Amino acid sequence: MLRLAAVSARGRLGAFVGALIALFTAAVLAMAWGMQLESILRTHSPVERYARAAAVVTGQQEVGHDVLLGERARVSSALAARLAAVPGVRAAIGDMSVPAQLGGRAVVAHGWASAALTPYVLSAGRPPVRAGEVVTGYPDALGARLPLSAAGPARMVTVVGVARPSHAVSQQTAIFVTDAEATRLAGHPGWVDAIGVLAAPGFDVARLRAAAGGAQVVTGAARGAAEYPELERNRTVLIPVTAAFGGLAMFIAIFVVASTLGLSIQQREREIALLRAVAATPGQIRRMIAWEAVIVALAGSAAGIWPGIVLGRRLANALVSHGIAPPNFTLNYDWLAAASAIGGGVATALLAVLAAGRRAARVPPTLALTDAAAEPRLLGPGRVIGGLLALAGAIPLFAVSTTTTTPSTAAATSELNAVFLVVAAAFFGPVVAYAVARLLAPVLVALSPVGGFLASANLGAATRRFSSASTALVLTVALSCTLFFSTTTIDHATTQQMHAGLTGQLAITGAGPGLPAAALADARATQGVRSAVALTSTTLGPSLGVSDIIPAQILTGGQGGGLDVGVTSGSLSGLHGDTIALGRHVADAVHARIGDRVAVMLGDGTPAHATVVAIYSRDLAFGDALLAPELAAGHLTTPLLNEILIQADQPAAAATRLQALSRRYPGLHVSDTASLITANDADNELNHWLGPFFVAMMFVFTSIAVLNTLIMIALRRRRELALLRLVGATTRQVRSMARWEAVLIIAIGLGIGLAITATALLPLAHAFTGGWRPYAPAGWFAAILGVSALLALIALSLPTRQALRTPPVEAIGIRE
Amino acid sequence: MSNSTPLTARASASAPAVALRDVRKVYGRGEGTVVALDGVSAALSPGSFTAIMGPSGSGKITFLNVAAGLDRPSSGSVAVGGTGLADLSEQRLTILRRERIGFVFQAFNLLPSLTVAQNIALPLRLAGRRPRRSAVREIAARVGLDKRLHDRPSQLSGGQQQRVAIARALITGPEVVFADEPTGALDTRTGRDVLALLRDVVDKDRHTVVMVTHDPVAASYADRVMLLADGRVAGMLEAPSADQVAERLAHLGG
Repeated sequence: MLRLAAVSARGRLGAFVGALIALFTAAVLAMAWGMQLESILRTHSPVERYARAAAVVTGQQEVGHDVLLGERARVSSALAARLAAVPGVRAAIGDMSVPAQLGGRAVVAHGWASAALTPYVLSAGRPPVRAGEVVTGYPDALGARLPLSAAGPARMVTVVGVARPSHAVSQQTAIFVTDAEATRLAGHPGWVDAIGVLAAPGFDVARLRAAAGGAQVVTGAARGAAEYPELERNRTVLIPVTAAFGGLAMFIAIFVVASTLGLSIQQREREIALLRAVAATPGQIRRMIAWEAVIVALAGSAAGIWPGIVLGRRLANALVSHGIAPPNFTLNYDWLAAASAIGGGVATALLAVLAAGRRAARVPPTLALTDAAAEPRLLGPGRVIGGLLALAGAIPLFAVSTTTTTPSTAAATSELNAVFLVVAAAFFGPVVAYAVARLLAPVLVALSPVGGFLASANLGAATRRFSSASTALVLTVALSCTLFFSTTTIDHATTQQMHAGLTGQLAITGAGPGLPAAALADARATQGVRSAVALTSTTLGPSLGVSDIIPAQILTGGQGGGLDVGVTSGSLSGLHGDTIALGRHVADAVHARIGDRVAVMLGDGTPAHATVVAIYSRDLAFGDALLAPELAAGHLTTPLLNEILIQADQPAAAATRLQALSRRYPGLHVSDTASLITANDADNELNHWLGPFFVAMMFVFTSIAVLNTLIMIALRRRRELALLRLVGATTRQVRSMARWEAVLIIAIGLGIGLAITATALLPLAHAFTGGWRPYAPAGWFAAILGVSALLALIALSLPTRQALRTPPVEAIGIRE
Repeated sequence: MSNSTPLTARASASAPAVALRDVRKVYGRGEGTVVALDGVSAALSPGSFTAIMGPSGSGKITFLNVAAGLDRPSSGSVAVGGTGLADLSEQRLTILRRERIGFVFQAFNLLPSLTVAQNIALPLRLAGRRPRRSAVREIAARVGLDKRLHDRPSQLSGGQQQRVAIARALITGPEVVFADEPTGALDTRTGRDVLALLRDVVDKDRHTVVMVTHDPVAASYADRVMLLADGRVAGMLEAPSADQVAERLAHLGG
């Protein structure tokens, strides 16, 4: 049977071209995304400054189910003394990182004792011994006096030494101050970022762990996570992103391959009947079909591996250059990615032919002798079951997406809902085709007595063929539109809220991580400034009914600065001490009211309680919670302010005076609030680049499916077209029929695709904006629909045109 | 849609229904050249039933295709009802075929998506005319299928499909009905029903029928049997019996 399959596959390669192309594309996508996933899983944050430390002790950065906290979880500095007493430990050194500006350069300041952890070795000068002295970790002018700005206004310091790391530290530019000064600049006395442990002979990690108590002890490559928790967080966010995109790509691949292979088998019914007539058993037929599928899958998938690698490399570069992947992300894959791409292709192909092959094997041999192409009944049991299952999945998802108050839940469920509905549409396709045919037949016949009549008759009879064609369109339109326009809707809603919320005239930002807290007071004191507040991005740990970290802001200064977060009850002027303001979605979720005391987890994992002083509506733009600065003080990775919002009477004059503050705070920059919003938009790389890129990729793939399916269908109709011409239809009439069929296919495909998009996007829009209208830029909308329709038109008319060139006598096969 | 006025006036009673003059048809080029018809001339009178017979390769199918306007001769002239086919464009040839010629194939005669009634009425629709339900039913009754008007071809037997094909060939009231092995795929009894129908069509409605067949029994239904061999007319028999036909065929080497 294998030989027969091989021969038959080779001889009829044309019939398999469609399936080959589908499998090839699927393999390319699987390879490209598989490479990313494998590389991410293998990439670790680099170990640089802690290279010499045998072990690093930190706070628990991970809580619950693999939730990485957004702020650095610190460890008590008293623990260092306890650890130093453990046998086998040469030294236990506390390390702190303080972002700063030194002479116009963005640096990170550490206590000199932590230089031993890398180690940094003095190459010139001496270590710092008093405040005002620094050692730079990079070549600099010894003895230079430079302004250092970290926690407050810039102070002049002297470079007393230059140290070099014994191996590369590329993620930061380090400077060293005295340990006392580092503690003062960091602003959280009694706590250190990490304790690096230098080993002596007899070092034993187990003993260290026992002595560390509740703190986390990491060794080896895991030290990188301790060194750069932000990079680590980037990395772990990337995993579900690539998995989701890869998974969606695979879903489309399975869909396309299944429909292509299924169609090709259905169209070979006569050939299979012939084999049966020559006494092949149904089992042999099934095996032959399965082997064919395997051969085609191997050929197609193997061909896709190398292009997949090329795409994967480009993808990795793009992920890094757009800041989605950490800068040290490199491709690190092996045969596993290729094997799973090929294996996945074969598995998909076998699954695809499973149902179709079973039906084909049951074809009665007598079918070879008759020639009426009988279409099987409208919906086989398999289709009914599959369709009902898909609907059963879609309905609860739809219910959740419309009733939930949590925007992220709405987003996830509505997109998944679209997927289920597409599957249901695929299964129930023939019924839809039939129903549309019955409904539209009178209209079509009236509009076009020949072309329209024939087209509607064909639609009502060849339902499976037509629904295969329109299903490919449904897939393209529904998935592209849902994915693309859900991000545009969310983006738009966020930007709207930002525009509405930032009513002040000016904004001050700093270079790097931000501005020292003192800058706010200075800004307020500036002449012409009516009011000013400061915002700092932070997160809350899993609490308030949410199982992941919660985006939040620290609002310093209460009410003012033109900041209008849409307070619906309470007031922000009371945001001092251990108080909090909640966004309406979170407030609804925990049923919080003004004056309630809620339990929260701060960004570094510390539990706390806070009184609710306000509830506000613009939580897309300003985070789910606003914290009073006192609540979060000491629990942040850096205490710097992200932006200061200013309300000023004469903005131009005030701006000039505010800009003068840059002498005290190097890197300070004054702009208007509009550019703040634009800058924030640019930050949304994930939505602005990866989203459209993925939609484009998926669009290409599903377009291949559309082309494939339609061409396969058209090519098989040569005989029918020939008969039509022999019975007396002119070429114009045949083309008219083809055109009307195309119109019907496109109408059904686009119609259902849009309906599915609506069921996904409307609940999403409602959850995010309160209104039921999603934001779909007309240009993109027209593009997606227009290109889909155009593709379908081309795919349908070209083969028809080709078929019409053959004299009908040849095509129908009655020449001697 | 297309105009519905006939291209020329209907043929007068005296002109032959089908006339071929010195027709040659060559396929292929160079080494693979096949001469299917080698100077064939024939004149079939209106209201006649002619059977075209010959061994395989004799050119009988080609003769049929060329006579019916489905294929163009390499040289020579073909006229149906007095109208020469050579000068007609593809478009006009199609229209002429639609209005004045009926064709029944050996197999794959019907469009699978259309019902019996729609298949029968198809030539009228293509001509831009509204098919009258009574006319369709009448013709369907003629071939004995007026009860199956709303079935699809897949629900009919081979013989029933052939009869529908004949009904379709007749609905425009053509001058000539060409049939290519109409009973080839049928059993003897069904075949005889079809032949009797064709005979009836000639006797009652004065149509002209030209039928290619290899079956001497089928040929015996005809008024005249034309024998072809190697692309040339090899003989004519008037109202032969099945045995006479079989004997002549044997001599031809078929």
